[in-house]
Amino acid sequence: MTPTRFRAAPTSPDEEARLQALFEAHIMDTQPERAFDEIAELASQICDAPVALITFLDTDRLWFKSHYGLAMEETPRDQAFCGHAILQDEVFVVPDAGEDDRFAENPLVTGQPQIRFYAGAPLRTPGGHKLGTLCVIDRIPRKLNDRQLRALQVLSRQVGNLLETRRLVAELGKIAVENQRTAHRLTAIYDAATEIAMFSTNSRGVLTTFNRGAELMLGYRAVDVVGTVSADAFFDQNELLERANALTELFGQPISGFEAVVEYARQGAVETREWTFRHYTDRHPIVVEVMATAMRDLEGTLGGFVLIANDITDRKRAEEARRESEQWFETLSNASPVGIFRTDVNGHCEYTNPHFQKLSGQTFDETLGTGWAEAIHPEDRDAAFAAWSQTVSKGSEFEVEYRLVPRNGPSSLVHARASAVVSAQGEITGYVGTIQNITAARRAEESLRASEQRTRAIIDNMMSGLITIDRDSMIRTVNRASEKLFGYQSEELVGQPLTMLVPDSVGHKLEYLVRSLEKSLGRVTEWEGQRKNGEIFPFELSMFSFRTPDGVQLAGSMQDVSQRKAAEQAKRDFLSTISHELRTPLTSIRGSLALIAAGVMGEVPAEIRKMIDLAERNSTRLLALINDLLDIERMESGRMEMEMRDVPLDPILQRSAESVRALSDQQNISIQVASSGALVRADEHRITQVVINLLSNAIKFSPRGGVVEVAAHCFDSTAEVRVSDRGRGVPKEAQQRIFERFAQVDASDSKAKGGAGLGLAICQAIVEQHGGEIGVSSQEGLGSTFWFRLPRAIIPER
Amino acid sequence: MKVLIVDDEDDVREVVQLSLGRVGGMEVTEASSGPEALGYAQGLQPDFILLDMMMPGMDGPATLRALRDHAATASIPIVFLTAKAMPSEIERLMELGAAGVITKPFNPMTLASELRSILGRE
Repeated sequence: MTPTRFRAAPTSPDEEARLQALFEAHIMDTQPERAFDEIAELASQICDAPVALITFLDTDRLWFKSHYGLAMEETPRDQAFCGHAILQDEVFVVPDAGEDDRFAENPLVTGQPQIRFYAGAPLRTPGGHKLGTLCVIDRIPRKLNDRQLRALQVLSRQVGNLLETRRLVAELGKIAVENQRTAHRLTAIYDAATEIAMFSTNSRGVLTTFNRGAELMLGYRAVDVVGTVSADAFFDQNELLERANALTELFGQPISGFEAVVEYARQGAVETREWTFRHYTDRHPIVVEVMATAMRDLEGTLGGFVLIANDITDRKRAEEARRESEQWFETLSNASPVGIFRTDVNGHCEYTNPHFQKLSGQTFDETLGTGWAEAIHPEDRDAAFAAWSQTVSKGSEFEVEYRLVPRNGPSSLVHARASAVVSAQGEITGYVGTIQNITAARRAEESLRASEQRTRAIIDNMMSGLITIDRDSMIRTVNRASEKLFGYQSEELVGQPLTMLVPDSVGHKLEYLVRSLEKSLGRVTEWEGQRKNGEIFPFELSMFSFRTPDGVQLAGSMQDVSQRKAAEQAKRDFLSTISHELRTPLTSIRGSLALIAAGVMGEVPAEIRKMIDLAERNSTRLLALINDLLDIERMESGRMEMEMRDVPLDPILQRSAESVRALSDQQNISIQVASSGALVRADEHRITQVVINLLSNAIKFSPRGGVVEVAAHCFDSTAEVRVSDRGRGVPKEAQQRIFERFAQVDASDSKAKGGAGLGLAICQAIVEQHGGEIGVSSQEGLGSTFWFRLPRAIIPER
Repeated sequence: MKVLIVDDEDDVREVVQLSLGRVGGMEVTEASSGPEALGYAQGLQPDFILLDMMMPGMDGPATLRALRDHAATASIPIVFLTAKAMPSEIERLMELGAAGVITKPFNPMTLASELRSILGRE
C-alpha cells in the first residue's frame, strides 16, 4: 500500500489534562470577542498573511475563536495543522504544505482553504497546557522572518494572558454571584429571626444593624439605635462592670464597657456567655445567652462585631424550678424513713436515698447499677431479680418482699415496690420505688398469729364450752366443748340465735335468755339447756363481756353439771332417807320417854325416873348429833338454805338466852344480855342457832355460879356479837383448831361436856355463808370471848 | 276433837295416841296407810288429819291429793308429820295444801297444843 502524504498529529502526552484546562477556560463555542479578533488581525498584518486564526483544539475538532480572512469556523481535528503545533513550544512552521509528506494530501491543502504555508504559535495556560494556537496561513509557499516569528510568539502569549484574565473574571463573577446569594440568604435569616436578637456593631461598639428580634426583645427601634447607640447600653451595668474588672485582672490591661462583651471575640474566639439585658421600657431583666464574633476582612482588619442573643429567661426559670424541685426531692428523700430508689429505663439503679443505703448497708456508689442486689439474702436474690426483670421488660408494677443482709448491721425483711415513670409522650423513662422495713410488723403479725393459734388451741381444748354472741344474741363462735355439750356441729350453731339452745319448754325464750345473761355476768349461775336430741340438761354459766371492733360481745363459759346435780340429788335423797330413818325411831323413843317422864303412863318411881332421864338425855344428844351432821352435810354441799332478811339482833339474843335457860339454871349461871339496836342482814333462825350454840358452850365451860355475857356492837358496815365467859379459856394453839369438825379443846371434853365437836364448825359455816367472820379471843384460865360479825342491813336513804 | 293419825310406824302411832289422847284429850283414830286413811276419813269426818310424809305406796302428799279429790273429805284440815325440817321443804308442803307441818321428833307433851294453835290459825 502506498503511504499517503497526510498524517494526523498524535495526541499530546498530557491530552486529558489539556482538555480539562480547555474546559476550565470556558472558551469553546463562545461569541467572537474584539480583543481576540484584534490580535488575530494584528498577527495577519505583521506576518503579511491573508489568514490569521486563534484556534482551540478539542477532542475531535479544531474550533476558531477568531478567523481573520477565513469564513470557516472549525475543521476536523485530524486535518488540523494546529494539532502538530501544540506538540512543541516554538512556532510550528510549514513553508510548503504541498511538498510536505505530512500535509500534501490533507484536504485543507488539496481543497479549501488551499493552505500552502502555515505558522502557528501554541497558546499556553499558566499551568503549561497548550489549548490551541495563534496561526497565520497563506496559499503560497513562503517563510516568516525572525521579527515575524517573534511577533507571532508575543501575540500568542497575549492571547494566553487574555484567556487567563477572562477565566479569572469569570471566576470572580461567579464568586460575586455566590456572595450575593449568600448575602440574600443571611439577610433573609436575619429578618426572619424575631425570636433571636441579632445586631452588629462597628469596632467601637456602635450599632450598625439591629434585627426585628432585637427590637422585640429589648424594646428599642432599629431606626432609633442604629448608628447612634453603643450595644453595651442593653447590658446590665453591674454585670458589665464585674466582667470588665475580671477581664482587666485576667489580661492585665484596662477593659471596660463594650469591650468586656467582645474581648474574646476580638482575640479571635467565638464566645458564648450568659448575660442580663435590661429592657428599654422598665429595665426588667432578660437573661440571655450571647454569642459574639468579630468581623474581619481578608487582611484581618477588624470591621466590627456580630452579636446573637437568645432569651433564656424561661429556660433559667425552668432550671431554677427544677433545681428547687430537686432540692425538695433531695431533702424529702434524705429525711424519708423509707428507702427510695430510682433507675433508668433499663432498670439500672441511678439513685438511692440514705435510708436505702442504711437498710442495705451499702454506700451510694455500691447501690448503683445492679449493685443493690448484692445486699439481698442469697436465697431471695433470684426471686427478687426475676420480679425486677419482669417489671423492666413489661413495664408492670414491681412488688416483692425479700431479706436484706447488710455487711454491718441487722438484717431486715423489706417490702419493695416500684412503678414506671412515664413521659408526657407516654414513654417509660425509668422507674421509681421504695423499700420499707417490715421486720417488726411481720414479727408482730406472726406473734399475733401464734398467739391466736395458742388461744384457739386453748379454747378448743378446754373442758368448758365457750360460746360468744353479739348484741343481738346471735352466736358468733363456739368451741369444741360447746359442740359436745349441745350435740351440734359449729356450722349448725354459728350465725344462729342463742335461743335455739334454750329448752322448748321455756315460754318466752328471748326474755329468759336476756334474764339469764344479765344474771350471769361476772357470776356463776345455773340454767337449763337443750341438746340437739332434745335432752334438757343443767349447766353452770358464767358470762363476761369484751370489746371487739364489731362492738361489744358476750362470752359464756358453760359446764355440764348433770352428773353433779345427779350426785347432789342422790345425796339429798340419801340425807332425806337418813333423816327420816334416824328421826322416826327417835320420835318414838323420845315421845315415849317424855310421856313416861310426864307421868302420863302413871307414877314413876324415883329410880326408874332417873333411868328415864338418862335415856332422855341421851336421845337428845343423838338428835342433836343427827341434826348437826345433816347441817354440816348441807352446808358443805352448799345446800344450806338461808332466808336473808333485815333482822334486829336484840330479839335474837334474847330468844337465844331463853332457849338455854334450862341449861344455865342447872349450872346456876346467869346470862346477861345487852341490847344494841343493831339491824343485820341474816337468816334469823340460823343466827339464833349460832348464838344458842355459843351460849351453850359458854355455859358448859363456865364455873358454877358464873356469868355469861352476850352483847352486840355496831361498826361501819358490820355488827359484832360477843359471847363472853369466865371459864378456863382456850389455849392459843387450839384457838384455830376448834372451829374444825369434830375438834375439841380436849378429847376428854367429849365425854365430860358432851358434844361431838360439830357445833363451832356449823357456826363457822353459817357465819361465813352470811359473808361474816367468826373467831375467839381467850386467855387460859381467865375466860373466852367468842365473837362473830355479820353485815349490817343497808338502810336506803330517804 | 276428833283426829285421824296416818303413819306406817306402829310406835309413832302409839306415841301420838298417848300424846293426843291422854295428854291432849282428843279422840284419836289410827290409820297405817294412805288407803286406810281414805277409808276412815269419809266416815269419821275428823276435825283434822295428822299425816305422815313418808309412807310406802301412797305417801303423804298422794294421800292428801286423794283426800282433796273427794268432796266428803276435801275440806278436812291436814297437818303433815315430817322428818325434814328445812324451810323450803316446809314451804313446799304448805303449798300442797297442808294446814301445817309438825317435825319429828316432836314433843308429845306439847303436840296437842301445837296442833290446836295451827288449827286455830285456820
